[in-house]
Amino acid sequence: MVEVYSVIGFMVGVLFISISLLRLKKQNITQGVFTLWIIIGTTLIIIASFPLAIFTIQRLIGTQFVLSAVFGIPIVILTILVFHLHLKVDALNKDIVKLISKLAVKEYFQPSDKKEE
Amino acid sequence: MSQDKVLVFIPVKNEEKTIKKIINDIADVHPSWDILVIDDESTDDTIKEASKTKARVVSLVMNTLGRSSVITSFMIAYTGKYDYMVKIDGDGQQEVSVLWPLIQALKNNQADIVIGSRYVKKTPETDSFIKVIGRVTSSALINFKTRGKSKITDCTSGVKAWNAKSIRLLSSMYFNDGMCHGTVYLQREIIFAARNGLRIIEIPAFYKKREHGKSKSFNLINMLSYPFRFLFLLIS
Repeated sequence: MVEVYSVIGFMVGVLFISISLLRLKKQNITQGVFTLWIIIGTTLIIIASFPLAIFTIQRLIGTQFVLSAVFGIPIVILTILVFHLHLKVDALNKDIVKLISKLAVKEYFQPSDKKEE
Repeated sequence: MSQDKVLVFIPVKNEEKTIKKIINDIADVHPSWDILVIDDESTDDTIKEASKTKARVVSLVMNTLGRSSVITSFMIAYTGKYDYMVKIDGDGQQEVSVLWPLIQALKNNQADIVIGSRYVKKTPETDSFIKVIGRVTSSALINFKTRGKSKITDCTSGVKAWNAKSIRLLSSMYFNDGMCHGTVYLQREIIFAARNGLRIIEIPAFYKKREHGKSKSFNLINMLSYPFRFLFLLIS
């Protein structure tokens, strides 16, 4: 019998892949992000379709309990993702500060004609 | 002989009650100096008040917690080929009369950066004990870090002047790192300047008690995170 969590996992996996493909079609996604979410979506579909695969994963990574593998792997992946995003946000912040400064310098030397009321 | 170009830089955020007087006081005494007001998204009438004066007002399109205003001021001073830039806060705590001695010290080639210090001559304390302790300890640690190349007592002073040489070097530093050191940028600047051979001196500056508004740089989060940020700066 198919469990509810398998159906949910499968649907979420399909959703990730569909959105990534749609974005790719509109050329609105970078290669790195597309690859990452295709991998995550595919993994979700595989685990949802073959729930027993989690036992193989548990044996492979050597945790004592299945639950440790079920929660441990996503936690590690999410931590890496957060770290990656944090670095990206930090770099973007730096770029924004520079951009705002450049705009201000431009405004100083070439003031726009727009007058505020 | 051509007159030296001097830029006065005043960073502001919600200083509607003090800004006009500061600008007019400077313009009365030094009519040839250009005055630049950089507004970090004030929500009151600061821009309106500053616009009534001879100052050039640049309004940043987004609040970057003071980061962009520092970079912008250095870039404007560098691009505009100013001989000297002097900074004074827009909160009215510093006497406008301190600006001339700062510029004079640069003109006399005594230093490349001149800081108006509250501790060169004993002046009545206007700040809390914890701020003073933090300031004095940080200054001592900076002097230690630069191996005596800087001998400063007030590393967070809001009144400061630079000559063309230091403007060139610091504008490039600030733009390249995007002010990534945030709240400890003043301390970082001193370490960077001293290590790059810029001469830094201090002259006495008198600070008044803040009459309007409250400090933007001093809040609980900044106070708690300051030791860690400063430690990171020292070991980096």
